[in-house]
Amino acid sequence: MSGTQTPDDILYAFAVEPDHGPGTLRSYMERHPELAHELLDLAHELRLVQVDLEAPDPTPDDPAKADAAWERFMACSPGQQGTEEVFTRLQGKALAKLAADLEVPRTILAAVRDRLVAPSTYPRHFLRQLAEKMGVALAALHGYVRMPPAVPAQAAFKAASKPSAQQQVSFAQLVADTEMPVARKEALLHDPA
Amino acid sequence: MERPPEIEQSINVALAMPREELLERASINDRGHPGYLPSECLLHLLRRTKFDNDDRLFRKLFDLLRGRVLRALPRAEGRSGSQATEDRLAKDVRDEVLFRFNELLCLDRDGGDDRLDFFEVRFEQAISRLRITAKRKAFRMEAASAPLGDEESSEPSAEVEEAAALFRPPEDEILAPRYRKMLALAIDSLPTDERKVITMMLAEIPIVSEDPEKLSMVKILGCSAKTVWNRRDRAIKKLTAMLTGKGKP
Repeated sequence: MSGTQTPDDILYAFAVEPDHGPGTLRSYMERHPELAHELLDLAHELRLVQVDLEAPDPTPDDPAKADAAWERFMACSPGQQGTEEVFTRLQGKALAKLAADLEVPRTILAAVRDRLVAPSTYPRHFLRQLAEKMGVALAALHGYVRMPPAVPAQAAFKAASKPSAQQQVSFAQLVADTEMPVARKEALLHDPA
Repeated sequence: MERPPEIEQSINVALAMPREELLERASINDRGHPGYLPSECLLHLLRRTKFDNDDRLFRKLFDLLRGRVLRALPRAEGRSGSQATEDRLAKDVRDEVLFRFNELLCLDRDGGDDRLDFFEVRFEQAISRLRITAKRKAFRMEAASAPLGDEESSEPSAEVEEAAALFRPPEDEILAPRYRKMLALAIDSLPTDERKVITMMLAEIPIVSEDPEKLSMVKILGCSAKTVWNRRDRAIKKLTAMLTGKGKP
């Protein structure tokens, strides 16, 4: 596990504790009060998992869905999809439509495209939604945003000195600096899962 | 975060098995069977196969693991309400969890995410995290941080004594698991605000604390003690009716 724990890491760590007695839940809630509600939901869900594990055999998996999942899984293999190509099909109207679908200004997507956002600062739900709307594997998108920032193409013709990539900012900073409704900003930054 | 010793042992045993035997053992779903391989072990083998070229083994493990995920999810048959509606919602939850689990497999294969490490520690418990997200989507559950509106109408009652007995399962070995199941499902049927109060009662978190730094329901829920009392009493009445048949919910 990495040294810096995300909220998701903390919740998973609680889920896989060997004992979920009163003391464990209290201890996590004391150490992570900001996750108190999530921890309460999880404590309850852990009891329900036990109920389902003791239930009769589940409905068998749908073979068509299993095939589709397998194909998607194989498509996630490193090198099977060029991450450089992730955004190539997104130009002009396609970019505007994607921005509308995601309810974000185009400048947000442009910053993602040019990798001007520090990759570790993306909320997971944002990348997941973006990958879904773009029709690409999430892993490919992860690979793309982790590459070095792009040098703006026009800079090569305009700059007197050698063009260089811009400084990366956090996703939260990008959202804060972009004009859009406050509720939408909050929704973009709040990871529901 | 380390795998329990029994999981480590299962992994070592499985790694030494011939492939045919491995697939046969991996197909056993009865947790009480002596040949059963835990889901944590199957996941470890699947993650290892990204360095392997045996697609047949790879695909089979993939399917078997999806089956193990399904076993930790709500069944199609409903727990309450209309059968048709319940079937659809349970199915939505299953589809969403399977989708998200597949995403984790993909991210892991890409090398950019290590959340599956948790699933190798305690697989079914880790699935509970995915279940919450899936349920919120399928049932349109309110977000965990949503404000919980509540009326402050009645005085606190003295039904807490009754609750203590309610939460204590019978000592009988056969009845106890059945009671725990009934209690979990009864709590699940409560509205979110009442369910949280009951979950905190079970965790022995006080309603109020003189020390503002200490955990208390009032502090966590951001409401008055009276509101917490009301939620608690309403919940206990409902649970009593569901579990003992006494009173009306």
